[in-house]
Amino acid sequence: MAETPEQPQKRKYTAKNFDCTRCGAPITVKYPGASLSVSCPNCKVVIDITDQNYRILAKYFDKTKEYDPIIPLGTRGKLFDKEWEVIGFVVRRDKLSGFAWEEYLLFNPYYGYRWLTRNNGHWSFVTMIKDKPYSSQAALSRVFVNRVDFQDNNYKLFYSGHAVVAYVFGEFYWKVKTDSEVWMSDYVCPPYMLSNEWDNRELVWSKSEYLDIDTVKDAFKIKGMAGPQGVAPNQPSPYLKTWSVMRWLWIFFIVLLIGLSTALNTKAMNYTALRQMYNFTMNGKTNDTTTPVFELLKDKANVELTFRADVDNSWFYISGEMVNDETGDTYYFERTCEYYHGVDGGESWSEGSNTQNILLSGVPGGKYYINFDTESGDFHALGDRNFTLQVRRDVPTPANFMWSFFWLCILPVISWLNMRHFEVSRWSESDYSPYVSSSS
Amino acid sequence: MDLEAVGKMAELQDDLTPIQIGTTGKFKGKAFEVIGRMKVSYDDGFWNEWYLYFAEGKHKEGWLAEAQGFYAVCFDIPESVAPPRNEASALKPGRVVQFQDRGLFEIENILEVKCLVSEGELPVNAMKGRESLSVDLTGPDTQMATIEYAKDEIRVFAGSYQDFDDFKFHNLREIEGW
Repeated sequence: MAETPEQPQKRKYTAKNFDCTRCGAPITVKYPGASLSVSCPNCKVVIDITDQNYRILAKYFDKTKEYDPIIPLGTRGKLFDKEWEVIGFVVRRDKLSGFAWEEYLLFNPYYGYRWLTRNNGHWSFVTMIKDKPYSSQAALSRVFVNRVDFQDNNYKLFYSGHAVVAYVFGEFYWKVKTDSEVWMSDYVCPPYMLSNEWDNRELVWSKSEYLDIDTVKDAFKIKGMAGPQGVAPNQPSPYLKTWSVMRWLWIFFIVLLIGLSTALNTKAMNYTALRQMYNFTMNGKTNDTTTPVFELLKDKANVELTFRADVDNSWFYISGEMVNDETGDTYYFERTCEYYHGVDGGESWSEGSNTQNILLSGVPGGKYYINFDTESGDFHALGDRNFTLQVRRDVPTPANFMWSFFWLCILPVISWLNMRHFEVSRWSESDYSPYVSSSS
Repeated sequence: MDLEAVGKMAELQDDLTPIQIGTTGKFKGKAFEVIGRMKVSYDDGFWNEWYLYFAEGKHKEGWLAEAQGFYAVCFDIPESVAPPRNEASALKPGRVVQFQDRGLFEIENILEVKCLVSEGELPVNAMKGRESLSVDLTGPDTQMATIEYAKDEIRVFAGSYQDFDDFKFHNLREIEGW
């Protein structure tokens, strides 16, 4: 091991003070060992600190176009377990739309620089990355593509445009130049966003992570702060979380429901309790016919009444009640069997059916009989015809399944709609929206 | 490699680096000590290159490049991977260079650099005032490389970035207020 030639010095760093070369106002550089340029708090020119004569780098930031940083420069706060000091403030805008956003430069002498961005009131924490995202579409040099991959996530192109510096204030680790502008593209995968900035000198990638407004408020002890508007490109969707849980619950319950109904249907007794054939007079009426008493087994189950009449371009009507012989509980019913057919303009048609069903659910077990009246019409003949009355107990039925299925779908559908609405709002600000409805 | 004590060359500008001669740390699990430093400047700024001594391993000497909170350790590799000197002026950011089995590297920037000051122990060719064309590249999985076109030689360094916390630094310089 090499000898340390001398004791490590404990150097104290000191702020650098000088007078503005334009207006003479005193300027303090807090971190002269790291910063390369600083703005004059009075006249806003940007000065090269490394130059012995304090050369002016940029002077177009006039006072009339002043923006106020929400977090005052010099404020320190803890984010992601590390302490950061706000040392610079930049406002940039999209050259085409004029949309402006704020960027706060954070500094820690051990960890270097980070950014906090504020976009429509939404905050993100930005770290420069040296690792390049990967795209299957093209080599990532100075062209933007639709999708990029980075650290197991797939990012979608959200924005591309020309960003220009509108205002700067504070001290910076580069030399802020007049008219500095870059090409930018943003790729989102909430809560993350990858940004690519390039000019003809260099290409830089950074990764943003969405920050809750309270996180920023707490970290920097800021009291009043305008809340976020709309949906940010990388804002995590609260509905997506619900939906992704809901989706699996939904599938689980549907499988459960299918299993349960299959089991119940196979277990159903499904037997014929009564089957009687009666005569009726065509185009006539019958009154007060009573069937033999029949037995319904099981404590509680459904009952299916089926009426079948030989109708042919005619109708048969039946009404009556099924009565519990012991308790007198009564179930009323009425049905019409009608069947018509013919040929119209060369096309044959038919409608109706000679069979009708009624399903009564939850009928207690016991002895029952049925009273009924009938009526019929449109018969073109005289004489008697047959109809059949059948009572089946405990039949398998899809009705319960359908209703359960319907109720089971309500919440997932709402959840999905919420999620989709959120995504449509997010992408409404983008030129690359996958939702066609949001083209504007 | 010929080592020569170069220290006490010039006073260093006040800077904020947390590294100093005597700082120890680990790169990919291998322990090193910082024994020298070059401060390199270019048109728009400067960075530090710390000379490292590794007690074990194939490479005894390495460099810790430190700029704006990024830390990368790299080692001398044969210059044959570098584009020849007559092509150097045509290199552009974004151009891709094949670094043997290390993969494809992309040029980040090309800078005219000058060794501003140096201290501690350094290899003989790392002297104050030395000028070169420095080409920085990044490769897959946080790899990096630098090609240095100096007057009399071409040198190539390859290594990778590592997070500050992973270095497990000791004997860092105290920074007032932090």
